[in-house]
Amino acid sequence: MKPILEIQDLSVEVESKKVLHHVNLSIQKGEVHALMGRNGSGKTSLSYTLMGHPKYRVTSGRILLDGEDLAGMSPSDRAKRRLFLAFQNPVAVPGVTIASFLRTSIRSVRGDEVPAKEVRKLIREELAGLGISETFMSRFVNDGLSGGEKKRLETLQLRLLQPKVAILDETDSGLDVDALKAVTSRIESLRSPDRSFLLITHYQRMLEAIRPDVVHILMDGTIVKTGDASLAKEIDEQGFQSIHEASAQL
Amino acid sequence: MSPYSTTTRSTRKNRIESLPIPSRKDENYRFTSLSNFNLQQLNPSIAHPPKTVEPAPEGFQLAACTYPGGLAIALESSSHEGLHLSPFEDAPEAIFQKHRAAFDLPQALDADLFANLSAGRCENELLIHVTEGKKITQPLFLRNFFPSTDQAFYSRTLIILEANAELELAQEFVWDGIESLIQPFACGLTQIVLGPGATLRFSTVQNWNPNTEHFSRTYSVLQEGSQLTLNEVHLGGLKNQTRHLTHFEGRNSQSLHTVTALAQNSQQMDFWIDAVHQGVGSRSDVEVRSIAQDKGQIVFNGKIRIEPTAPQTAAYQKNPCLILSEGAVIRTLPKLEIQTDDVQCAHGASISSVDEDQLYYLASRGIPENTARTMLIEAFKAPGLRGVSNPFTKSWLSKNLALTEEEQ
Ligand SMILES: Nc1ncnc2c1ncn2[C@@H]1O[C@H](COP(=O)(O)OP(=O)(O)O)[C@@H](O)[C@H]1O
Ligand SMILES: [Mg+2]
Repeated sequence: MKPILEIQDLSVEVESKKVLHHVNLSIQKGEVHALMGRNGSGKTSLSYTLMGHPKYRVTSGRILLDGEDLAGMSPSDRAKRRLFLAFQNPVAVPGVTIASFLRTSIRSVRGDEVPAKEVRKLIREELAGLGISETFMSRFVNDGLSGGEKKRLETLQLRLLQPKVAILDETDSGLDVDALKAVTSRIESLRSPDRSFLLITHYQRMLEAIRPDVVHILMDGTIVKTGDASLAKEIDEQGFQSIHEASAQL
Repeated sequence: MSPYSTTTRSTRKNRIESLPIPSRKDENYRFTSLSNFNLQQLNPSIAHPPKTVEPAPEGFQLAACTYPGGLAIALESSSHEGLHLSPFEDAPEAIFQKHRAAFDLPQALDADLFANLSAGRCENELLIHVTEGKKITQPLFLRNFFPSTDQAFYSRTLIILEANAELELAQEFVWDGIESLIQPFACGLTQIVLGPGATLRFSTVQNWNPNTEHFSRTYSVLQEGSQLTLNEVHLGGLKNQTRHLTHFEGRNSQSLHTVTALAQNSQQMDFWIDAVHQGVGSRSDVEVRSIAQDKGQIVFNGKIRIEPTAPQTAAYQKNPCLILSEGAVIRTLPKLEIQTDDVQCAHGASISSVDEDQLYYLASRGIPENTARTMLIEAFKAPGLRGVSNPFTKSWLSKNLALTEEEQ
């Protein structure tokens, strides 16, 4: 079967620094992949590149979404093809309210699929599900939000935009136990044969709730190991050091 | 016999003759060149009242329309208890006697060429007066209308609020939209006197013909506990110089002053804003939000002066700037003169272009890059509504700032 997301031989530079080297990764429809790796290994760079950040320059290889080459495609067009990225550190946008941002975004991505009247109802339900107060809507996007609130807002957008492929960059970091539960269960319930995930995480906790089909380890911009869910467990117990040593011996 | 003596006009006319044309060596004219300036050619026009009078925007009552050489009062003074609206000549004796000084130019503007031009050449000065303790709840609207058949437009307005009076006022500066070869020249003077505890909320939109050379002067005196909220939007004119001089005379007087300036093509906008604190515990808060694109140029010449009589003063001036093209130029020239201790002062300027990371974030949510850019520019302009609470004023300013109003 043709993968929904296929990364072939991808090398990337940012600010003339090489951050990814010949990365290969294929995700089938409905699969959940986990991407793990130390800080600085290139996880966020990969997610930014997938979403089309203009500063991240592809120097080799290509990215195919449902068979279509994404080269040169703007971030907004990628989003319209139902690719989604939950940011590790979403930027504050003072002056733009969450309400108008979400409405514009839903309209842009889902068009007439959700009637205007439904949008408000949909947002209200999702807010409740994530335990966010409705007064949140009049605040500015990510402006003055706590780390946990930002992650919830990312999760909210994931739910509202219903992507085909969702990349979640450490959406589980910096959350307290209750928030982590709310967030992971809202993500887990989105799992479907029509939706694939790339979960970037440091923690086993999230992967226990959302069991991955495949686990990749990224090190210095290269995928050094791929395995099943047990690989994540191994990392959790032994750390990246063992993998690092193993890969160094190759 | 009108109490307002027209000798003020002739005194000011004579004064004009004795004043030199400012040169670029002059601190405040460094970026506003007057090298081709010819006073003789800029004589006042004969009055041509506008053929049709546009109604005021929703929620406002049209109070007066000023046009080159003339003034049409649209509102009967008796329509609001405590409100007087008239040409200077028809000022009631008591008001004239009490505020005699304000009918002339203050000492501080005695040497200001453009203040003298307005006072000397405008022959249809408008007086707005609110009696002690009266609150005019209906927002009033003033229009300065500059048709393209005229070359020079001199206007002068005096707003006096007695103790504890309140007024919400909006003023637009518009032209008729008909292109002509005339190079329009507009020169305006506004004087504001706020008595103890008075509150004036004043919004203006300057939307002149983009070829206009425009000089405006606003002089405000704030007595004890009075409050001035100013929201200005500057869109038009080719060469603009806007000077504000505010004297915080009274204890605990305060102002919140927000300017949003959009300069495009070859427009120049030069703001010269001085806050002079004389009263204990007075407070000024000035924010000039500049957006420049194409070859637009915006200058903010801001001065805070705190006199020895004004401890516990707080004075702020901010100049956030957004540059949208490489050829655009923005300058901030802050000055502080502090003559007492125990004050809080801050000057801040920041210059940026549309933030790439913000753009990327919005775009990653499917929002087309152009729409995202517009949203970010709107977000920058939105604080132009700072301090505005009246919904009609809000919506009028939003429209002029091209802001999308929030859906309910
Ligand atoms: N915009 C950037 N400019 C310069 N260096 C960058 C930029 N983004 C990432 N890097 C560098 O690329 C490497 C990978 O970073 P990142 O992708 O954020 O890793 P991770 O998400 O795995 O922690 C780091 O060395 C980081 O400093
Ligand atoms: Mg990261």
